[in-house]
Amino acid sequence: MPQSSYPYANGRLSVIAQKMLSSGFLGRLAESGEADAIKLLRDAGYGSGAKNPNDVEQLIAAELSNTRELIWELTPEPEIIKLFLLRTDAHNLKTLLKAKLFDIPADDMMAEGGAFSVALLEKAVNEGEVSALPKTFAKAIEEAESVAAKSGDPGLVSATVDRAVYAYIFLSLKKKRNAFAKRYFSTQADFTNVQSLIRARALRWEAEKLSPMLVSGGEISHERITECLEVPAAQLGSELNVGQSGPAIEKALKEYSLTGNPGGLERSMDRALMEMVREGKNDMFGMGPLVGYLLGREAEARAIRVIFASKLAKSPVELPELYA
Amino acid sequence: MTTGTIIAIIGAALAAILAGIGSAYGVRLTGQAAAGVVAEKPDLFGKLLVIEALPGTQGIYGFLVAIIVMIQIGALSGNIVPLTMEQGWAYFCACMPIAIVGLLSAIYQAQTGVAAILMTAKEPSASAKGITMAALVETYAILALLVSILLVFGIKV
Repeated sequence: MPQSSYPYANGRLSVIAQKMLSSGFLGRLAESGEADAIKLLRDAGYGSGAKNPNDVEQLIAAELSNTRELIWELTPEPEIIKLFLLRTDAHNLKTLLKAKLFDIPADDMMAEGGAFSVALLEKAVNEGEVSALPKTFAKAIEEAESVAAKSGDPGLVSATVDRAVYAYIFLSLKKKRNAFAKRYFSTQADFTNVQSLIRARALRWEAEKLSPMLVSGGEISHERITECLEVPAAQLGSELNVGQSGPAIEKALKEYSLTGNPGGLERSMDRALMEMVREGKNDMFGMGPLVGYLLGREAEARAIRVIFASKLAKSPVELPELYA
Repeated sequence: MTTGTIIAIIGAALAAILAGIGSAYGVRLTGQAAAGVVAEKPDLFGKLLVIEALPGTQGIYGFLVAIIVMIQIGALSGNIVPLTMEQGWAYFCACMPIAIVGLLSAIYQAQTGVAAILMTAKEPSASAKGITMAALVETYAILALLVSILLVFGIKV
């Protein structure tokens, strides 16, 4: 049951968050053998309640499920915290729509833990039963199916879903006085659009092809982004240094211009986003610590997956940005 | 009862009401944060109770000033003194420092208190530092109390 008080929620969370895995602990995890690493995780209390405690994926799934349950229990604003789970729903929707397009099963690729249940989304995409979904989503499913039928382009299907998700987020935030969530999603929208621009430049797309890929809600106008298709790479950073997230975008693009690595650009932006979340860590009267804990646990899960994958591949570990 | 007496009673009531509201709000905030921490670390209850209680003192100060005014104007003995307008306004103004500063300082002290509670949750041995930080906000409530008391005692009835 949601709480009515941020001081209570953040008070409880301040104790629970101490159990988050530090970068030092993850370093030890990376240096251990696979069996020892799983034991280390279990000893740290990670993934309690997992069906199979010897399977790292089960531990991760259990920990993320525990985290979401806790957040639902603690949050005084469930309708806003729900927006931070939409990334999973976007993934599920894209998977279902593409599976339908290519007539393949989607079961193995679906992820639990979104704002809407997997069953609800399956029913919406496969049976057209959209009454339990927000209108924005229902419209997006219809539009994505029509786009898929016309073009058969999975990229456009993804873009349609992304646009719908951001439209829903900003529609939900319109009447809310939550500066933290507004700033977070606005920055995320800008970062998403800049990454789309970089991909479009690499693939030599025209503005007409890039425009449908852009999501709304950011501070950088779509016109400015499409104009940047023609701007020399060295000037991109200064051209896109707009709004609150401008300096972070400029910094990330400067690094990108040196390395030319799109993965590096994504990591720089993830780092900037996590830095913003960290700024809200000590706001005891707002949702910053709750969001930080949720996103921090997700980042931790990504880091554990990277560590175990690199053990299998016997390659060096490059950890994603952590919260703790 | 004269208009002056009624104005003095309003002043006394405001001292008790505003400072009381500030304290109730403040203790609510610190109480919620402390409850959150104690739900996970029950052994910290004793340390957190002190911090939780700190914003409660402003309400006591407001109550104290209100009682002194009531005694001076005879409201407790039943022989209410007929005050002039000037005397009534003098009592009203004398009550304002603790009424206003009590209201605001209790809320600000609670915010510092919540931060101190979270610091204690992370580092239980730092609870004394947290108490000191939150208690410093109290200084201004005490100064306001002193000003109110000195003004009330300075009024000739």
